[in-house]
Amino acid sequence: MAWRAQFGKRGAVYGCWVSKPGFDVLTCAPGDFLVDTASQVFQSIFRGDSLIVNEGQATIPAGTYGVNVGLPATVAGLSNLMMMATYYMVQNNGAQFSAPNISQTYLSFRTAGGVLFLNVTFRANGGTGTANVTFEHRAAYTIFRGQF
Amino acid sequence: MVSGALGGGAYGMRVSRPGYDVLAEPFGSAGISFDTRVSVIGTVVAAGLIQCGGGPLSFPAMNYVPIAKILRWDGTYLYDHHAIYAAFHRWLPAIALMTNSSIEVVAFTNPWVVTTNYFNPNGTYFLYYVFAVG
Repeated sequence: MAWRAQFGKRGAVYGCWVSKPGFDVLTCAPGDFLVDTASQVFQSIFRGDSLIVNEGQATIPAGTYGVNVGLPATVAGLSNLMMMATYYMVQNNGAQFSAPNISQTYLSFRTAGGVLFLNVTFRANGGTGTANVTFEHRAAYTIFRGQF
Repeated sequence: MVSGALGGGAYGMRVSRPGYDVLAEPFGSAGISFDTRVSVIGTVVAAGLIQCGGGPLSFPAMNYVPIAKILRWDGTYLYDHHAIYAAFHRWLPAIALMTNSSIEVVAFTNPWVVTTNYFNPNGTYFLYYVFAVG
């Protein structure tokens, strides 16, 4: 049976290591640990889903439209943040679309000063041109405490 | 390592990275490798900025080809799945080539459309993460 957990000194550093099942914690390679305190763990600290712009029948001029989301005080001051976001659209009949695949719009985002900035840019004029057809441009996002 | 009261009425477990005092590091510090107050999605084997077309960057050799995530970065904003739209086609401007010890970001090309004529990602930067998942 392989050794699975190690506490204390490993090489030149001290810490805690737990290997994946089947791997010897004393000899296994990076990436074969369940816990490796010499590496940083990617931790989710905030997530949400926001409406950025509602595209109705009327023409929306080409340009960038955005919303700002205030981050909770517990994470607003953190500087080592990273995030991922999924851009999607919801039609008013409930249908959902992966926006990058169907539209001439795209999403950009960043966090700064305790605020999450979400932007949708229309490369050309938008607007459904059809009465009673609207699209919500939305982003689902997660902010991580990363090591960037 | 601390197991028990973590302050603010919270109880759990916290482990610092080598060289960091687990009692002194603030919540969310990069010096903390594990904190039960936040959910964990994986260990980051390597992370940073990589230039598209700039050649591979190495990370510690793993026993498998790991999963990586790249996001285009223009200096201010990040773009996730930023599709380029031109010539009645859509595509992601760059892809990551992975081995068990390196990552390289190159422009997406194909035989039918000269993609870089519409948006050339070479020379631009991408934020990358390599996860301990393969």
